[in-house]
Amino acid sequence: MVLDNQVDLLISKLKRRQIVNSAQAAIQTAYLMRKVIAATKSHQADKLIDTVKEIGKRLVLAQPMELVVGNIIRRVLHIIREEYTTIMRQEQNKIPQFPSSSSTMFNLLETSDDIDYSNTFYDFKQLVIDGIKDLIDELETQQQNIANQALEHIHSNEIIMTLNNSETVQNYLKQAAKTRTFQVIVADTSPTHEGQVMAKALASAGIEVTLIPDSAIFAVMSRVNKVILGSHTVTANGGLIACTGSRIIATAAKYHSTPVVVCIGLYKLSPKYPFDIEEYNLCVSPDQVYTYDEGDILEKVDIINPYYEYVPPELVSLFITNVGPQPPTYMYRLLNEFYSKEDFEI
Amino acid sequence: MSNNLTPIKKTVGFEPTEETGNEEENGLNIKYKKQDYGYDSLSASFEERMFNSDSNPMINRIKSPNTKQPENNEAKENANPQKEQNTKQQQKQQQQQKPNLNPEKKSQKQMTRAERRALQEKQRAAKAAAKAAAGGNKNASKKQNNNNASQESVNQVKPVPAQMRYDDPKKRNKAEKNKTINRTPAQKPVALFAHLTQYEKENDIVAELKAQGFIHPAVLILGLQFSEFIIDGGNARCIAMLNAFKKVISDYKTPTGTSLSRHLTSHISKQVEFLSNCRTLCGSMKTAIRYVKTEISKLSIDLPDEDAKSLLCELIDNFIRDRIYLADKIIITNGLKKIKENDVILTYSYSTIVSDLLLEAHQKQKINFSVVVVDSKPRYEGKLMLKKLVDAGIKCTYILLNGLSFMLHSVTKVIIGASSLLSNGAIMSRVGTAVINMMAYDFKIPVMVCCETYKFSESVRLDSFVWNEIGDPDELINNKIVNPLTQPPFIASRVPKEQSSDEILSDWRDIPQLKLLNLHYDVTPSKYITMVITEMGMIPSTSVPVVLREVTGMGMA
Repeated sequence: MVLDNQVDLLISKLKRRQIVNSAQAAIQTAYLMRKVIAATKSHQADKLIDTVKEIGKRLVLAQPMELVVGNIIRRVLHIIREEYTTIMRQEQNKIPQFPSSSSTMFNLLETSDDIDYSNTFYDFKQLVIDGIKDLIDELETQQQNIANQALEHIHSNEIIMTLNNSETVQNYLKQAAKTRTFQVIVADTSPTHEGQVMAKALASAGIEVTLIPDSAIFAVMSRVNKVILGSHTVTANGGLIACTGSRIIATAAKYHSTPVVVCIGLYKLSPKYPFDIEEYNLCVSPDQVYTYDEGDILEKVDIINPYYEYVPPELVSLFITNVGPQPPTYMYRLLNEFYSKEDFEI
Repeated sequence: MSNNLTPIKKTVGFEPTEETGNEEENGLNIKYKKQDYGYDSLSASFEERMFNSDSNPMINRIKSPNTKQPENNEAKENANPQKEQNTKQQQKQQQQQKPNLNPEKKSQKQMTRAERRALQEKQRAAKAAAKAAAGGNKNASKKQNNNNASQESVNQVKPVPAQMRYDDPKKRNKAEKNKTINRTPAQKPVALFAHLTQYEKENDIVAELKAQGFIHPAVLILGLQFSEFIIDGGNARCIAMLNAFKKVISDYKTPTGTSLSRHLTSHISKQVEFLSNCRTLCGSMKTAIRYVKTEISKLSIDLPDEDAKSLLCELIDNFIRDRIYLADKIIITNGLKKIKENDVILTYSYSTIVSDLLLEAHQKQKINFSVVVVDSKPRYEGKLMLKKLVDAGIKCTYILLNGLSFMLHSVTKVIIGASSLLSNGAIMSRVGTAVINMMAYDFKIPVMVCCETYKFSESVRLDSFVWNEIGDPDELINNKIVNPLTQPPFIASRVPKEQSSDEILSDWRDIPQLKLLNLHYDVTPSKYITMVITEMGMIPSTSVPVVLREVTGMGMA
């Protein structure tokens, strides 16, 4: 197998949750994929697809909750298929075709099982590697792209509520603060207290910040103009798998008719549909909730510390993605833009 | 039922000063009311109120002239000064608008007595409203106060308390002057709450005591316990305060030249002021204070001080017994009907009434159910609840507020306590309760609130901003898990110096843009509340004003 030790390294990092940051997980997976393609001796598309799928499966299994890894694998597979079909069409017909097979409505219902990926084309692999390079560029610039839209959505003297410490949201708010004055209320986000990190970072950037405990979310919501959240993943229906507390904040916003804006890079869009919500959760050590040294009572009590939480799409008003703002109802359509249908299940 | 009603009738009258003729009878009557309370149905007392009401002109007309005669005379005597003023005003008005009013004036003469009374009532109300609006004539409004305590509450809108007007520099200076303690204003106040008092936590609150406060030692101790949260929770604080008042009353000596019923009220007010400077009073305490003050004002001047003092202490004991202990017992019996086999009950933080209810259901009724205890920063009071329930053998799950949606799928009922119930049906309770109620509503889980009727409040709140209590912001930076079982609250709430530098926000006071907000209460809108379990039965939360009306009508608060 190609590059076994590098694959194992990434797997172990994912398993030990040394990479919790989705952006890092995505970028590292993309780099690894580029190396894998480059190191594969075969020029046949089906061989490449098989190799990528095989390594992809192992990576996904290493940390099933890190859905971006699977997303990047699907993106790479999609690039391979796209490049291959484009070349094939050019070779066979020598006439211009629709630019992309799956991004138009005309062939939504067309099955693509009959494509034969076994032909060998000169410089095909180079095109794939270029495609992955573009993907990596996209990953590295997506936060800036999102932040650049900030002024379109934040008006002056606004009160914004957020929670946790999402890098994307932090950049977004900081970018807006360069030219606008507004207030941010940050929920503490127990038990990780990441909200405190966010509050400190934003306040240091000159934004007026008020830190509240999570329990005061409802109490304070009546003064909030906008809720801006980050998310771990967006599911196929436009729902979120986000850190715990997001559902509370989104529900409170719904009852106050406050818009909920989610800043998210589209690499987080997953073709998974949340049929079973529990499947997409992770219960981490309860030590943060009830310390182990508090003894006797622990044996008799279930102490639960869920890490993620599902937020249904009806609670989200808008996604701000690296390709512009999108409503939650449109997210399923974007799936076809980035992934091939045959790769939804790796 | 009619037999039951007659003794109350005497006491319900609106003129407490008229009643004080026979002291023994007065005392007996009050006792009778206490015993009667709880067994009397709502409808009966409502009927009784309807037919006793003097303020309702419609009813006056229904009444036969024979029964009306003596009451009317009394009312006339009381209303005399106002009547004179009223007639003067009428004359003035008539002079101003002579041509228009002439025919009406004639008709006024032809009016029946009841109709004229109704007109007088109307004019008086209008006048009172005008006075309140103008900030008006203090003497006149005082007179009215003495004459007619309950009518005043109907006609006059209460002024906004100074504690809610701290954004007005005049009001703030005045309030600060009246304070019994010098408190340090918060260094980094939250702008949204500028209208409320925001103080730094004092290391030694007694050292800041101003010299002129005649604070009883029992109240001093209590104030310290309040400010350090050693005594916490609506019922506990109220009972502790009433017990301290008993000591104040029994140690009280009437100064020469005044009477107990006149002076003791102001003495109590000073103690209350001190307590509220230590920590903002909660709704239950306000009801209790009002009760004590009304009972003092009802005392006859002829009653010897010793008798008056023992009577007051007895009344306070009765209040604690009837409105808190007995009420809790009835609430528990009511609540037990709603706990079924295999229920999963979610509760938040700590509430004595809820834990008592759950323990009773488990131990006496042998109902098999499990409990989800939800807790939150910064005090983690849910651990007290957890410990109690687990020790009794109830199967428990413990989560923080953020993990709520993870557990709500399996929850069948939510039972919580409340700090006070407001007249618009909203519930004021420990911060976070609104989050629980909202999420339960979203998951279509019934929410039950256990609350004694003495916590019902006449005020209305739409949000948690207008009135709230703002706690020590330093509590929020402590990221260590606090255990109230092993650490006393005054230690738990403070981060030790050597630890504090590890915390993420240990230097928050040095970052000018960063503010910390530690709210104590929040307001849950009535739509999230399925029902309220009270000692008067299970009612919707919107029935608060109805119950209040009944309770005040019965002379209980």
